[in-house]
Amino acid sequence: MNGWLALLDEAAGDLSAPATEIDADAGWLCAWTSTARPHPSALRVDERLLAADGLACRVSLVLLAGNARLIADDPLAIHARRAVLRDGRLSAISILTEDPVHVAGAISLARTDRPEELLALGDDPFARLGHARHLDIEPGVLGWVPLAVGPVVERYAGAPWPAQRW
Amino acid sequence: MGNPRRLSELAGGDPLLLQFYRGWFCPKERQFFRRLVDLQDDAEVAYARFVSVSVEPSPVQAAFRAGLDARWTFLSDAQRRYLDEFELRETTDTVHDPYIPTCLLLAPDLSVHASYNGYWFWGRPTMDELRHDFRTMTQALHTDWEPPAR
Repeated sequence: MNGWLALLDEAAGDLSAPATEIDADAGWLCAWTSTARPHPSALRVDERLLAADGLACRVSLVLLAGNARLIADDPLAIHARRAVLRDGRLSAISILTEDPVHVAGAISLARTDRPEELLALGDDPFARLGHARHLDIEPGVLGWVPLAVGPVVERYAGAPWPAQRW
Repeated sequence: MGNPRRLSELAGGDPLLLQFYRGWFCPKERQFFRRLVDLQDDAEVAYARFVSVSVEPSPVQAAFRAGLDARWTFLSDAQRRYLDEFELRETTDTVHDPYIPTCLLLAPDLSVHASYNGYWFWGRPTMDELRHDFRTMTQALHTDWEPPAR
């Protein structure tokens, strides 16, 4: 089973919560756990981020258009992963993928009651790949677990880093 | 301050170097860490994990880690809860009361593949020895070590 995530206009999926961007409605963050791709906009995410009992959080969300996606082995993408490990990010993180080759985006989490995590979101290494939107997400979709371990930056059979199992 | 971590979680499905070190103050540790930092460039593309453990508080470890440019997890046992349980208390250092420098090479099930007592510096593994250990463990873990036949 894989984790999937999409930002949609309406609620859908196994888990969903409203998203706001600078107090303006930004749609719904929707999540699924399934083997097959559940929605045309859904991207694979490290399923450990998904949690029905997750708390409110702010995310840095990078979504790359199909013609702007780097391969996961691109030095820019590798350096972003390396920076996550080096800097000891306080928030959880996952690359988003649509296929085994490319990086389709990334999501970094900060708990809303942790000022140091909110501050760290402003220096999202994956913002080097594309525009990072900062969204406030209501409870019920994303959980916080300290994921990055290191020093491995390679993907495990195309799984969305830092998923660390074959 | 810090995040509770389970060793099995940190190992995941990969071979793991579990390193106990005295602390930032020890020149032997600083020298050994420089070697490990070189080795991490290989480990980051080779599916091998590192974890370093000391009695230093997390903020001290974080500063040391950042100065080293290390990109793996450091665990703090500032309460010294496991020094005696692991039988790794360095009784000759009554000032810092640290761990005896020790390197364990662990399989994903946390069984010990190799152990190096680094009380004397030359007892520590060379990077070639660590490579050999990682190679042996990785080969044992992956049935496709030999490329599949056509």
